[in-house]
Amino acid sequence: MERKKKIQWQPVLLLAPAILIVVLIIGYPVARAIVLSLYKYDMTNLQNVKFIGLQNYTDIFTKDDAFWPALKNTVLWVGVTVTAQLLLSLLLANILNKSFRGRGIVRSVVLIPWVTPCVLISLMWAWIFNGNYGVMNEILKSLHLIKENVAWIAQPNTALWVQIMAMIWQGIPFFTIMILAAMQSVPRELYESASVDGASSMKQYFYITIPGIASTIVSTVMIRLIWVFNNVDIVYTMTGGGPGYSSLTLSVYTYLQAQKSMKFGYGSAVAIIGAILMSIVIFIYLRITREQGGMIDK
Amino acid sequence: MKKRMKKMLSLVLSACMTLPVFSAAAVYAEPKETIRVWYWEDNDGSYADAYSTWSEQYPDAELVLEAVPWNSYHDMLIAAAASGDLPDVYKIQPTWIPELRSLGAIAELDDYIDSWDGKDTIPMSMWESAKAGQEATFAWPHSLVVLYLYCRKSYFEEAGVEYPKTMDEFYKACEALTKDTDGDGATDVYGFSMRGARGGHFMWAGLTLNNGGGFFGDDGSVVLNTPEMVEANQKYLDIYLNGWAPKTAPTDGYTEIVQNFESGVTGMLIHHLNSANEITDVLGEDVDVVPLPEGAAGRYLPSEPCHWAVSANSENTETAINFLKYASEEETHKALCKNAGLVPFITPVTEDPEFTENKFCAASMEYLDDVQIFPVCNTWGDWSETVWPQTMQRAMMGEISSEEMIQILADNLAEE
Repeated sequence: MERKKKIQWQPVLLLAPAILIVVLIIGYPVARAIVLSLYKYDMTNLQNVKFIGLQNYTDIFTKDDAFWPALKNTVLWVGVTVTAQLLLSLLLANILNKSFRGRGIVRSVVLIPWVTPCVLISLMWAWIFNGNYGVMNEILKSLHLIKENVAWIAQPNTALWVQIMAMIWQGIPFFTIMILAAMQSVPRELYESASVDGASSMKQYFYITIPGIASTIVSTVMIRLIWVFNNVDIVYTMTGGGPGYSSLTLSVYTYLQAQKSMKFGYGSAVAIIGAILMSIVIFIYLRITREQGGMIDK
Repeated sequence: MKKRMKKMLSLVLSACMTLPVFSAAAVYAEPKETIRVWYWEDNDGSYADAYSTWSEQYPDAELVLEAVPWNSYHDMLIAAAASGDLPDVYKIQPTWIPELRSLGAIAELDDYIDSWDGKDTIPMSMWESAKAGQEATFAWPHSLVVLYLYCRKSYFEEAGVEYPKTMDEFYKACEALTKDTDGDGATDVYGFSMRGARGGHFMWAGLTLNNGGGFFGDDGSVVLNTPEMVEANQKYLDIYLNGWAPKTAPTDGYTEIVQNFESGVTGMLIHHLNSANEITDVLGEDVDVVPLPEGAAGRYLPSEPCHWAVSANSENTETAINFLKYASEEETHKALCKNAGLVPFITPVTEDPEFTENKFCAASMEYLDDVQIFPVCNTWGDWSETVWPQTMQRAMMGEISSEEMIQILADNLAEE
């Protein structure tokens, strides 16, 4: 005969305050956004607020000229930025992990992009790539790579890429510091015994270092995926998503709909779609990386 | 004895502790009424300077001036209106009145205006602008700027062209001023500082709607989409497509177009009095101003009037109205116009030589009565903030034709 399982109330009670806070500060806004997305809710026309079911969603997928370019740009924005940040940070962390004169200063200097406000970074990169007076055009002209000025952030085929470069530059320090910390926590004895066994530096790197920092990489990539996806300030400050829709991302589009056009219902629907897509990406990513310490059990 | 001394001392100390209570009672006075005012700056610090004499005239009311950045002003205002947290007085553009009315956030001012002695010092055109086509008046005239054309004097002399008076002459000037100055095969000077980013709809309207177009017809329907408007819009787009405007034009905003003009990248710029001081600081006498060119239907002078509004929920409405009257006094108005680079419209400031002898101000004042106010409708905020820049940029990139652009603009202007 199966014995009836007794509910343990003590852990529930102990966790209750934390659960309550999570429900209040995360659960309520999420639920409110979902409800808002089912309404025609224009802040400038509050007399005509009405429940329209899934119409915002069908409009986004079928009538909205901006949504699909924004989705495509978001895939590029997140995919290229996080991949490039990971690879460049691995390289930089390896350099900073070696002992050399002035390493402490270099480690501090590397942090500068991370501690610089995003809006300043945007303005700085916008000046570098300014089509009329930007230093990048001058450098490329002096190297005879271009003959005349290129309007980098005013052309649809280059605008997004300049912003991706700015975002890569901004995020490298975070990745580097995380990877560097993980590298330094790999036990020295493993390298020593590998050396005794005759393993080359390359083999030590791929069989000791990489597995040792894998779980850090997994969690850092996940954090960056979410942060880069959510980033509004760089794109909004540099181009506002333009020219046209050429650098519009889902986050910026959500911001424009809700904050500039005051269409809170429609903006919420775009945000919910973005959140669902991001959740799917994160789920797949964690499934794939579960061997390396992802959060999903086998 | 010692014990007595101690007792005395403790008594004195205790009495001392109660002193603040009495002193507080002695200095207690009725708390001052506070008037909160929201505005965006035209020139940093200009409002604080202009309204510095408030406390002398109204010692019982404290004036709290809160400057809000222009880029987020409209968003903040609407959010504050929706949450019932508006300041007593706030600066607006007349096109925002329907939104604020729908939120029940703006007080009707007709009674206060009618009973004010100084009503006649403000021209009727400004009161009409403040009324914004509504059945009642919800705003009080604050400032006005009129768009005109800045011309780089030496560039015109070098190119051998006159300042443009008509649209044909304007396009010819755009072409004539565009030059490769160092012979490297690349253009160094462009004819016109074109603004494709947010806010560019002012110059666009000034150079296209002079062809006879308009936003709404008499019956309230959208009449923007006409063959004449498509043609005029195509000519405007051609300024960029022909290479007479910088390649950066699609994303150029206010800062960029002014910098392009000041640095010699462009030969013409459409803006208003607000930028005159900055431009003359850089270019000195090498700049002139002329009115916007005439099209087939004459001149279209889009204006950017701003007004004061009083919160419907203000608990200090009387003092708020006193502030509006104070802001419209001769000395205060003069100080603000001078500091902030605004066109005076209150008599007798309009006759002050300080303004009439300034060529930039005179050019603005000459056409004060001919200015056009943009339509006042619920869709205008979204149309001007988001739809216009995105659609304009797509047309400049060649993604959509002039006809498609005008159709999108017309569709988004129409109320649902």
